[in-house]
Amino acid sequence: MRKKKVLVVDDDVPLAESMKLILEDTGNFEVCVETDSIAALSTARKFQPDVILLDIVMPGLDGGDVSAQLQQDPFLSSVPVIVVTALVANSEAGLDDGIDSGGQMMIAKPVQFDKLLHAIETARVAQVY
Amino acid sequence: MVSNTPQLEDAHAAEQEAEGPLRILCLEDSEGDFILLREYLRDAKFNPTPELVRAETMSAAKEVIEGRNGSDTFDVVLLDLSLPDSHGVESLVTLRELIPTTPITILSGNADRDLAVRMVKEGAQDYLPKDSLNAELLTRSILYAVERQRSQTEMAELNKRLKRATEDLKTAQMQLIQAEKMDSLGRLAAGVAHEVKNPLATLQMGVNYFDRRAEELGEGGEVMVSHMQDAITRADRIICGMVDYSRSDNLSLELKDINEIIDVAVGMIQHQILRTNVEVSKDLAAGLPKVRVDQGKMEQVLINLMMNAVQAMSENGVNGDGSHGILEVSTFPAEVEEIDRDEGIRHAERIRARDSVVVVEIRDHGPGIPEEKLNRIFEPFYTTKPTGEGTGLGLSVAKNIVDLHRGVMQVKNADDGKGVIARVMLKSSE
Ligand SMILES: Nc1ncnc2c1ncn2[C@@H]1O[C@H](COP(=O)(O)OP(=O)(O)OP(=O)(O)O)[C@@H](O)[C@H]1O
Ligand SMILES: [Mg+2]
Repeated sequence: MRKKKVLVVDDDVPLAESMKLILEDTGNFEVCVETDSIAALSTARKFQPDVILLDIVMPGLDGGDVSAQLQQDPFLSSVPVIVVTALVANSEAGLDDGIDSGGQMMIAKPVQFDKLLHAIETARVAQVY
Repeated sequence: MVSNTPQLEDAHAAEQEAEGPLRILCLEDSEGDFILLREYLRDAKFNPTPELVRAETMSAAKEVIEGRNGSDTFDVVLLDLSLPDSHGVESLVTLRELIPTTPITILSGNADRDLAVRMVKEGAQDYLPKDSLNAELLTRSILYAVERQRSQTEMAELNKRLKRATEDLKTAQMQLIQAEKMDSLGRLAAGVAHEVKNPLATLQMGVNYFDRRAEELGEGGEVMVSHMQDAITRADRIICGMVDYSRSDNLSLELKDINEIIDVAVGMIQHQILRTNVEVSKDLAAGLPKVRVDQGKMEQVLINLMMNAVQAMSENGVNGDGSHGILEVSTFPAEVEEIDRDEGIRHAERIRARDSVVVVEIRDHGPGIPEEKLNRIFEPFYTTKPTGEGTGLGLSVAKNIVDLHRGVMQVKNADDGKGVIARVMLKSSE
């Protein structure tokens, strides 16, 4: 079975790298880390991920900007994005299942690995109305 | 003894308002002096004719006043200085108590002039020398007394309103300061939370990484990893609590039935309730008026209060012997009688006396809270629970949320000394 390709966009280097380590440790994923959000789009074009884990608060371009760039790219717009952020708590309404009301998948940091796995496995493209 | 003077016919002299005849109480024991006075009044040609009631003693006067029941029974009192059962200042004091706002005019003989003057200083409106009394003097004195009293009452009323307005302004100002404080605190908390959660997320990944290699860790390693997991969970809980506490978010208010919110909240802690063997007894009033609340936030308030109750009963070992601790949740409509100054003052627009409210009461049968700790329980991070179990934010968060709803929250020991009663009052919206 082909390994699922995961792109992690997060400016927190130790966090991004430990996500890569543990994901690859399962043997099911090939992970690429991009800690500079300005380079996120070009990295994504090169890497062709199946799923993108995207932080929100980042210097330069924030998660929202990156998401908008991805959306405008004909190939990347169909790649599901999971927002992984320290801005919300899991207990906040609707986020416990990792999906918020707007259809955007969202995960609160710190996240348990099994939750992260589940999110990656069920990831789909957000419905934008 | 009381005698009603026959009403006088025909007269249209003095300026009388359309409020009805002047009501005059005359405390005079001397028959002669009273008849004279009555003559003068007749000559004064008040329109409509005044109602003149005579009392020969203070106790008779008391009877009349009480018989009329209410303080606003006479427009003016004419008081003779020496009555058989009361004299001078003493009479004044007695009358002030009975009818505090009615003007009193002293009738004095020449010999008592000094006393009469003193009584004016003590609060009588005027004094009239009996020896040189005439219709004109009497008319003028009565009208002045009534008029002066009226403006004094108006002044007092205005003053009261002014005071109230000032107080409202002060509370509004305090509220603003509070909001601003919360706002900057909120931003600080959110900032701190963000900075702390990222490292926590890394630690979490690390813990999960080692967890996947449990066999290689050995027993000690496994215990270590589980402690680390607890530490992360705890730190995250504190951070989230801090953000919750300081958040001055706008509420998304909707008209809700509080009973439904209670049902949801109870459902959310069902697990803990079952585990601790606590029994929930609900007594929710039917047909309650709706309240304007943020449902999610209000659920949190109720959960925090109910968790405290559940924890109080299980820690206490109430059900150590298998007996159930009972958590009583009730709702009822009420009209506010009085709110502690401390609670009322902090927020303008808050619940006021005579507002209709919906009350949620959560009562446990645990050990209660020691009196000397009662004023600390709302402090953020104040807890008596073992480290790692309580963050001490439950009540502060709950109170904050209730404050944002302009409601009132009270936590106190039950009167019978067994357990705690927590109350949330929200203004009814119907
Ligand atoms: N129902 C109660 N019975 C006895 N003590 C109580 C009760 N409710 C609150 N307290 C006391 O008030 C303290 C503060 O309560 P609060 O809910 O703010 O924090 P906590 O329960 O200790 O921690 P947390 O709610 O974060 O888990 C408690 O530690 C306890 O000492
Ligand atoms: Mg608590």
